[in-house]
Amino acid sequence: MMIPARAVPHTVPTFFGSAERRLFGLYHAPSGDTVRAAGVVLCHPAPQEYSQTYWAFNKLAGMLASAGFHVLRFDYGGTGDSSGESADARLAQWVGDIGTAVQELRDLAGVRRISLVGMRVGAALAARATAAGVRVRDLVLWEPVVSGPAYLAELDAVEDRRLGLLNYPEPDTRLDDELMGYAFPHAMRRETAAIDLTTESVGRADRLLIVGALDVPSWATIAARSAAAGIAATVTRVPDPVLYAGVGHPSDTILPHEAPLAITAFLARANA
Amino acid sequence: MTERAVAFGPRNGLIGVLTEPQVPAAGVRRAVIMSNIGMHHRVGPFRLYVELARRLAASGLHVLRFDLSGMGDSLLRTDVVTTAERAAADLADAMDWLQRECGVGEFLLVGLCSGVDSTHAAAARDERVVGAVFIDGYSYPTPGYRIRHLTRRPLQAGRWVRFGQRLLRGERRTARASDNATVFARETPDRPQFARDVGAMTARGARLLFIYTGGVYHRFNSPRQVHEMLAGAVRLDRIEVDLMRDADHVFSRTEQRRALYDRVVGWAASIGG
Repeated sequence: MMIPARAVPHTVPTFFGSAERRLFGLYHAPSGDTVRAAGVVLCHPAPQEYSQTYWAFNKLAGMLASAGFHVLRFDYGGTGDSSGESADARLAQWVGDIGTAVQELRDLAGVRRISLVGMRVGAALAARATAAGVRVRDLVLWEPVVSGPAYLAELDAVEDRRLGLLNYPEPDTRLDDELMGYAFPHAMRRETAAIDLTTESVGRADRLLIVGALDVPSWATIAARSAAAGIAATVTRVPDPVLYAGVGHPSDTILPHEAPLAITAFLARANA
Repeated sequence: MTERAVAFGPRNGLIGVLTEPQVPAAGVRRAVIMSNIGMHHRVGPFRLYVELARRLAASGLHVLRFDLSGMGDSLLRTDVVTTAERAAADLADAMDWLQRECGVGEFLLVGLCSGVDSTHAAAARDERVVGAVFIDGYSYPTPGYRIRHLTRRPLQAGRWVRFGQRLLRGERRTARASDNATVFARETPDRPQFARDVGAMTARGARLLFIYTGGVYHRFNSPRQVHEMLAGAVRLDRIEVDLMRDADHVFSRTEQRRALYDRVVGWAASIGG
């Protein structure tokens, strides 16, 4: 169903997906003078960085909507407001959820042209979704997790530091099936450890943007591999504060500004 | 249990999720409302509010989790000035909407940490609030608290061990400025106002559950402290107090969260309605 851009409020909350796997999403209608025949689906990080980055996603969604895009951000199954238990979540299912969200935005806004923006683990999942056949115009990897083992080491260090700073109550020993407050079964740890964007298929898109404040040499490797596959690839470093796992505090809220600006400008140019 | 995405209030700008029982408990006229905890949106830290809402709905209650205006996904309202007024107006809008949508007229509120600010403000102002859960809410030092603090603190061996470890690592446990501090400030009642408000709530029949965790043991160290803070100004038979010593401030372990859910669901069932 096509929704007239000015007939809806700022955001429309919705559940979509199957009866067994109901996903929560927020649709942001185009709010500026321009209405593009294009949509953007935003893919959150994994739960350990979800709350930290939620405001950033809200901000990015608002900027994209102001630039004329139809935007959908959503929670993977077993996370956020979506159905399911945290302990049952698996990366492969989240990749499937991205495909479901892309189709939902096509149906909701009546647009065919969709781009994906994924952050941290969400970037790796977005790349996997395109490799699995989800057809998108542009793929944006925001501070992508390139190496699963390196990412897990960061999270483990954050967890150790958090417990070391606890005085009340007396910190307990670490649990091997929980991580930073969330269920993290062994299967999920194994799946996360298997992430390696330097060797995985980057997937299919017309254009690729890798953007972030971190200095990660492997981003250039990914861009080069994508270019060799015929994808126009760009790496953009932005001067945002770096507060992600291993750097900041797990309760910090991250409000980056430059990366959302860069992402919005990139997608606006690509979908002029 | 079913869940619906909802938008209500001014300009339909308040965003939330309504969790409803498959079969409402017989004769239930009440709904539970939860809003933000600190900078977290309606999901709460570690999905605490999602899981608690589903547990409460399984017991037969309607539960609304929503973002206060200007928080999470909700629009900022401009018809009020102070944080307390805004929270009370938002919660009043939520109660109005639930009355129309679910046919309930009485409400239980749940607040944790800074979420207690909105819960307390609404419970103090709105007679439709018949019960409230204050988790790691207001605490004020009392003579009893000071005696317990000074006599127990030096005996906590783990504190000294970790203090030594931090010294060796060169770490300091000082408060740090963060983005949170620039956009997030709290307005809290002083102790006499707190006692007057709680007295008024209990006088009209509201039932209150105060839960404190080990995470705030530096400012709350015995269930007796609530009674000391209130100085006899309230109907004590309408108040329950728990100290969950093993839980940290945001219930960062599954086991801690389950204990909290059991306590809140059990309390909600015990006060009837």
